[in-house]
Amino acid sequence: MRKQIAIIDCNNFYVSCERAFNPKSIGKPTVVLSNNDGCVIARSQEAKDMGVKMGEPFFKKKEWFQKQGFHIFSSNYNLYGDLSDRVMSVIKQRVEKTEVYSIDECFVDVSNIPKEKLTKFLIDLRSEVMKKTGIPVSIGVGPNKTLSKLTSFIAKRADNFDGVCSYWELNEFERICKVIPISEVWGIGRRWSRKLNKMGVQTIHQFMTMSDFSVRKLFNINGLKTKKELNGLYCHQVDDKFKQKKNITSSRSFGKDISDLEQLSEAMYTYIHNACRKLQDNEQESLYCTIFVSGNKHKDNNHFTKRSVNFETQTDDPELIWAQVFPKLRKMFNKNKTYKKCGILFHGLRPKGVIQQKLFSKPVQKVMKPNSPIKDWEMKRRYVTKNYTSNWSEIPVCY
Amino acid sequence: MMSIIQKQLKVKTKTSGFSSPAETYVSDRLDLNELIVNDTLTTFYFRYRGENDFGVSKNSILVIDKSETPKQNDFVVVIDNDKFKLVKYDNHKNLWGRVSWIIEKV
Repeated sequence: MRKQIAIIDCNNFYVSCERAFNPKSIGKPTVVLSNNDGCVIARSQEAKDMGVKMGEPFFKKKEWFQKQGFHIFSSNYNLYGDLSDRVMSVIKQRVEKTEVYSIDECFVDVSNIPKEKLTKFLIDLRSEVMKKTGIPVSIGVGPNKTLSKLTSFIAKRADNFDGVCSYWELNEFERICKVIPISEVWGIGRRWSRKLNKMGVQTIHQFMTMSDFSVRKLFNINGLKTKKELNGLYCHQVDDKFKQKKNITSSRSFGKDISDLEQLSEAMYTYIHNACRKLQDNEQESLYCTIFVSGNKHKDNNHFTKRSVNFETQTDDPELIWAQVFPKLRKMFNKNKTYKKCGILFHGLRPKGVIQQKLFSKPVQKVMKPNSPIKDWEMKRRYVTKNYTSNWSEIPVCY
Repeated sequence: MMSIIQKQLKVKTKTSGFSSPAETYVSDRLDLNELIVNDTLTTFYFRYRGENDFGVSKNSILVIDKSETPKQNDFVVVIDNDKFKLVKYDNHKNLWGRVSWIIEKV
């Protein structure tokens, strides 16, 4: 039985999410901005056609965007997270083996579908996701992860692509491989492609014809797996097991630079709550954490301080954690400095409930919740849309 | 939805003396979700702010189940002039979803 691995990815995912609830932006150039509205992180097809690049700084060209009639959105991860869940769940109802690879991508193992029915199956799956969630997806399928990714890449650049593309139906695969740069292959990072380029290896075809020995020597076992997969072998399994995280983090840049402890505390307190929610979702507790504060490196104010905090007992309770973090944060704070970012990393994660109590743990005295009247630390999100699917007072309006 | 149901199951009051004669008859308390939400994955909610068209009162909540396929004359939400509009279905191209319930506060 041949292996059939597909990659399902949501087209311009963040833009599609915004468009589902903002019909005005449909068919018009649309971009979604990163945290603090810094740069472009998602583009509609129209925006791509107008030459907007991924990661392009927004503030430098703000007027140009506005003059060109762009629809501009700050990122709304509440909404994207919910729609991502919906898309992935619809897929999981149809396919047994799935691996959610990122917020907008999912590998599926569809080896059990008879090969003559494969394309039809994937076309139906694509329409089902579109109908049930409103999110358009593209699907590339091949004998392994690397080739399904590559097929999807090739298909998206073809004029006649209708959303599903199979490696077994690609014409002139070999010729295409002589044109596409090696950097486009899944698993070949920027560092590896630089290394390969220096050796004169530019295209996928050149990489495929290298000897196993030299690939293994130059890179690691994963480099060799990539080469083997390009040649049609199956190496990377679709991993449907939930991976327990080794650490959990929450940090963010502030909307403006801040220089008072009250605001810094409030930011840290908020990030602790965010990170604790992740802990609770994973049913984990933490034994110790690292907190850090830093300056604005773009404004020549590059300072960084970190401290670790050992908890009295393993915990996922944000108030207990805050009570133990706050004294350290107060000591780290320097009133002559300005801050642009802070965050928390939880380490020593244990399954919740399996308690390894310390012999002499002190009871933790709770500390007041910070409440700053000024909110300069809050993210700049000038163009943020509503929580259409998670807040009753923000559901979309219909006439 | 499951979590709501499970939570309700847990709150069965224990008696210290005689066991309740109704104990073996206890069934799940009614939950509106079971009636209205067929599948949370495909359910979305809209607020109706129109002017009592088709007798639907202003501020009603429209429950939309995107998995449903509308038939002629069903209530649907469509995109009309860049806005969401409640209409009776007539092979609209710009369909957003079929309205499966309308909830009105009285």
